[in-house]
Amino acid sequence: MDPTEQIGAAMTSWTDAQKRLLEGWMSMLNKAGELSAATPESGDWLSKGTEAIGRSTSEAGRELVDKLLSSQNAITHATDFFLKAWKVVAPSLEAGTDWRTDFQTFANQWSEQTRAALERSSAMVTDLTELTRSLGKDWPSAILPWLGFMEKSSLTGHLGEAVLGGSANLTRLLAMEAELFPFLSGLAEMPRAGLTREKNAKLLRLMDAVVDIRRTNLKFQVAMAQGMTRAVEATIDRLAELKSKGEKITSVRDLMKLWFTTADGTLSHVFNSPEFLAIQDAMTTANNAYRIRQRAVLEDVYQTLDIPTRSEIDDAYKIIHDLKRELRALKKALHARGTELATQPVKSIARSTGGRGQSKKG
Amino acid sequence: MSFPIQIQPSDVAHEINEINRKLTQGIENLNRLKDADVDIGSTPKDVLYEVDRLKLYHYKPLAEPNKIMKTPLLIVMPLINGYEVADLQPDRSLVRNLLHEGVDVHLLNWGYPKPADKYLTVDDYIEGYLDDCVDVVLDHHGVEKLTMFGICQGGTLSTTYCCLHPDKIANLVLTVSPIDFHAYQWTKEQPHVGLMFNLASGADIDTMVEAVGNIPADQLNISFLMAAPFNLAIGKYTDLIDSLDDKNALLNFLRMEKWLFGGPAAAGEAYRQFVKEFMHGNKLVKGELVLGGRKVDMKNLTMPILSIYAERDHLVPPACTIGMKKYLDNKDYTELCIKTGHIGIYTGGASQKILAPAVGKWLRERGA
Repeated sequence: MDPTEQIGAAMTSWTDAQKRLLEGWMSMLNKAGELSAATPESGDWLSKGTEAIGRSTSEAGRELVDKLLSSQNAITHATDFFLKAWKVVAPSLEAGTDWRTDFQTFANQWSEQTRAALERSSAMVTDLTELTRSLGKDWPSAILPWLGFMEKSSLTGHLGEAVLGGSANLTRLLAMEAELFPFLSGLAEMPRAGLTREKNAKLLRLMDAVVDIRRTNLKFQVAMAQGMTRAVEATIDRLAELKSKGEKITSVRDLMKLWFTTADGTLSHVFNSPEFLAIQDAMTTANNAYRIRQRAVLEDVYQTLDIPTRSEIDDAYKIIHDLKRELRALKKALHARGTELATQPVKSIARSTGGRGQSKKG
Repeated sequence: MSFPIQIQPSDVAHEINEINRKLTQGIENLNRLKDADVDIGSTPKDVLYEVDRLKLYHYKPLAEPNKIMKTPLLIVMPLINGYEVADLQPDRSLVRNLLHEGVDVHLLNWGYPKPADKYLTVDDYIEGYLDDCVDVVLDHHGVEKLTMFGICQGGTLSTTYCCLHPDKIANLVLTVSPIDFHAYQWTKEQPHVGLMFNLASGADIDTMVEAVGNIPADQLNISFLMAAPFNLAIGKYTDLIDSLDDKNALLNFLRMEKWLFGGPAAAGEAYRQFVKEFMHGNKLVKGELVLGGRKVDMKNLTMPILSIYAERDHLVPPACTIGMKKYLDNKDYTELCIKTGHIGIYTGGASQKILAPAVGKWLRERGA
């Protein structure tokens, strides 16, 4: 059989069998969860089914069911991708000609498609309308009206003007329409020149953080995609070695094992390269910076609503921590001097009280 | 035919039907399991002391009373792992094996930090909690010294403590514990070895701690999975399909999973301090570490030391464990290599017959 035809047949079989497998699971899951309407095409069937079938088992069991089904799902995708690449290079490999050119063409196309998809899904937003819509997913409803006004104000002027306190629309936000949104009335009474500018600067910094997240995330995804391309290439190399030795792969699971092991070896190199680490660190830091800046903006809103903020709670935690430390040092000093606590050894306090909730040194 | 992939359509159908059958049966087995079946850390014990999140356990003896050693032993866990790795299940339990050796075992379970614990420092853990526990154990047994047994990062903390309080320590046992963090340089030839150190090398810890407070266990787990993402995140679950119908094998797997993914978060300040001062700065071996206003001097490690490392340890390269010896002025320093991995040293089948017996023998030779 022609190699291409053979791979094509294997892929068809795999797809058919996969369909039967899914139908088998589906039947079992439907039975377990009475999900008669669910089909593999309905997005949440897997999670619903997992939840249903795991209802009576242990927590560890439920998590395992989830991972088992997810791993099969991941295998299906990985197999599909790998076999596509293999189908492209198989004729050259079989003919003993250079397969890397074919692979490079495939890899470039895939890389380009991946990059385009990523760019579409995480477009570099400078437009406030899209940005506010995006932010709205994560933010509590309290801040959305503010962002809505920001969006409106930006339509009539420069974005920077809108957020820096210079536009009429922002003035409406902070004063004239306070009745519509009573929680904003406090904002309207604030001294404009100082606090308003400060708050808006926080919002600007947050927007910068969002752009940073998207930029660094895109870079990370592209680096991952490049790593995966290298992993596929290494696996095809490994298959070429098998061919030269006359060895063969006869099952999908063996093929998967070869793919996983070779891919892990390649990705270990990728993940440890200085370039990848720098990209990963930048993405992690961008995500963390976003959380910090998001908190700063939200805390302004919470303060207006008289809700305790994370910073205030952290201050309380710090005070308690410092007091406990101080108490421990005091007890230690008293103990060392042989004063009151030394006559009633604190070492014994834990035992004499059953050891619960007592600390010798605080 | 020389074509390397010889997967026939009929074989694929058969293979996938077989997977389907095993998976269906396995899931039915899973459905019969209850939480109580997946028990870890089950060796009988008393809580000797409890404060904040911390619990100090004292295990019930398993040896004849006349064979129990007089010097109590305190196991110090890492801050980022659950204590159950030392007592995963009856036939894979360091704690149980030590008890059979006649060791009087205590274990410090640091517990699960909550947001209010984010300001805890390494100083608090060592000079506060650990020192408290040492005093409680000494007082409980009416002795002057104990044996300290460190597990991974717990060994780093133990070593630091022993530098500050050598008068309370009879023996120090370290297992796969990083001491000299710069003893191993990452190489392209072995990219998975020391991967965690490499991943942390350029991380902006200050921003991370400010953003999240305590470092979530999931974030730490991802670092472990990065060593072999396909095999650890997908492959091992695929392989499990073959043993889903074996209840014992399934329970073994589930117990390990429960421990792996049930670990505690790391208290933010302690994590920041550990990464910056121990990992990045390597201050412990450089003699630059200061805790509670006191310099941590490794020359104070005059007690007998047993350092045990795993030959195939990719998380803590052996060089980082045994690298400590060049900073010591100690004639009673012993090394032991076990042919296993970082976790396998506690939970692996072969290690059950090596680790605890070796520790027991070494302790008896030193009059414990």
